[in-house]
Amino acid sequence: MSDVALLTRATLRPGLRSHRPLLITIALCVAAILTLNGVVGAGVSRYARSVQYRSALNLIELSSQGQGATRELDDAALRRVAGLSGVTGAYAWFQVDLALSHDADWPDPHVNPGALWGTPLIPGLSPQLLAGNLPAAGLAADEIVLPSSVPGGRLDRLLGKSVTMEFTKVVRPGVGEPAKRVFRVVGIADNTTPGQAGPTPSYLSEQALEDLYASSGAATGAPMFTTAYVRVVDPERVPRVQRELSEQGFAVRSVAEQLRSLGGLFAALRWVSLALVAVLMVFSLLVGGSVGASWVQQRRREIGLLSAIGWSRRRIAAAVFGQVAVLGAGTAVVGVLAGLAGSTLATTLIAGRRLTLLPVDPWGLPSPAAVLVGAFLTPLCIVLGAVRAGWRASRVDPDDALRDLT
Amino acid sequence: MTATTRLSQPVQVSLSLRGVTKSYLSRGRRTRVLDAVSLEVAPGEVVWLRGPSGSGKSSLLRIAGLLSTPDSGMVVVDGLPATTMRGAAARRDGVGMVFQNGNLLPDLSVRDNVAIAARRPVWGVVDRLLADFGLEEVAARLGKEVSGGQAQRAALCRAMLNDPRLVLADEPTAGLDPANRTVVLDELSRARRPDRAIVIASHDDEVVRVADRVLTIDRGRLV
Repeated sequence: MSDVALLTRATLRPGLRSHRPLLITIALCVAAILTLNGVVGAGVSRYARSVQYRSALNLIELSSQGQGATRELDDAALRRVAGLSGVTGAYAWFQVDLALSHDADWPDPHVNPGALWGTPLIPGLSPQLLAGNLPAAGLAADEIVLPSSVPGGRLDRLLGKSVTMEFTKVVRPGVGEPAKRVFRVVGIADNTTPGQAGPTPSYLSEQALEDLYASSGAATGAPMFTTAYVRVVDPERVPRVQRELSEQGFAVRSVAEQLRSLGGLFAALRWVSLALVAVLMVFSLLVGGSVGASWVQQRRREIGLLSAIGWSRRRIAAAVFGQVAVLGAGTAVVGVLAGLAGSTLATTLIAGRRLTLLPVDPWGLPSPAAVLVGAFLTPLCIVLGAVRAGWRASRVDPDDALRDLT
Repeated sequence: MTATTRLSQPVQVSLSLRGVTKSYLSRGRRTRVLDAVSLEVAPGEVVWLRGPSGSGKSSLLRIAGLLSTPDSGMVVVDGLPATTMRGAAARRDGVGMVFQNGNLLPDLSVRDNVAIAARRPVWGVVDRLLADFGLEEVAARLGKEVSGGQAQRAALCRAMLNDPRLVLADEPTAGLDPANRTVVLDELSRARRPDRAIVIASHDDEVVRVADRVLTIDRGRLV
């Protein structure tokens, strides 16, 4: 071990003691940056998958209840919309309250999984399947896709089995009775990121839903819907069709717009992350300067002594940089580890909360580039900050420094 | 003969000061601390430089130890003119200095305090030296945790690590109790070697016990 390493090792603990608050702040900054980066990364990954699996950029959401809506949505209105130029289909969207009838099908026999809202499988808004496959021709009337996660546990084990779903059949106004229908489970959908369909949607064919809707007694006349989706031939035509539908009196909103707003949120988080990196760099420079300066100030007498026993200027400067670099590297390692833990924890917590505005994948880790920034840029900036102190230390006159003693 | 070759072979003089003058600026006033001092110390010789406080003992030792440059005059250490020597390397390899109160680095162990005098310490040599000076038991203690006598012995140990031809001790017994004063002077005496000169600046009369020659300095002049 060289004399410089020896001195660095010996003065590490006092240095750590006297600069603990500053170093903890830097470690927290690194951790915050990596955590944010992890959340952004997990969000972008989810966002990318959302676009990839849903292919929803050419869908327009139509509402009879949103702002500016003056028209009602029924089968006739949908037929008219489907006939517009550039439109390839119009699909009513509604949900029917379904529940697993037999507790043997529940993941936990003591916990009711609750409502598995029957939802239409609209082309382009298909859920991501964790198990099973969607038939190419779409779901048959007796097929169902169940959500993976429900209160009490997971439904994955029901794949391929027949389940009895229960719903309320209205026998006369204000009076209902339970009714049942058997479905075969052909898929298990990822419901970790809840969307408009709610936290535990199940997916049925249009035919099955209309049957359930009719037998539930909800439709006394022509079926009316609050929401429908309009598929446009390509995303470029979405604005024109959207304008046309709006002029017809429907409240409209494109799915692409929603995705863009989500993208905006992640872009903002990315900017916050970059701003934090800039703050971290400046702060690291200042801390490096402060640690180096106080090292020189507190150890002026010792520097004089080192010089007197034959330490060269270069070695004295190296001792300052060694001390600062080790403190910086230690701080960065702590920050990176905290950031990795923070990112995993934050993404898991956010994913668990199923925030519609911030859908992220759980167990998200920061990008390798961000980890490298935290691990190497931080100590580098701290050392750069200490350059002046190192230069000053190397210029301490041993005669002056030691004259104070005698 | 080049500027860096020794003035004579073998070296007849370990330390030579010729007409050395030094002054310091203090509170706007220039004070002369050494006035045309000339002296020579031969290898193997132990010289006691005595004088009252402020007489110039420490300044003379700092110039001899290459920590300070004189305003005028010539300094030759171990046959080499000081002006031709690279300060830090010459201080490390040629001169062993012992300061008042030991001056150990407080956060380093006694062992490390000794070791840092070498660029790449050989631990076997360090440990042997510590044993020679009776410091094995306190080797692991921090510099700030040892007694004054132990610190001074450790400083002496550090000064000897690079096997210097010139040892300069500035008030090595200051602040020590009689027992420790005796121990430190004994150690200095044991450091005597035919090729090594030792200069002890002190106003402790007990130094005479180990000195071959006594030089008295007063108001910057040898008397």
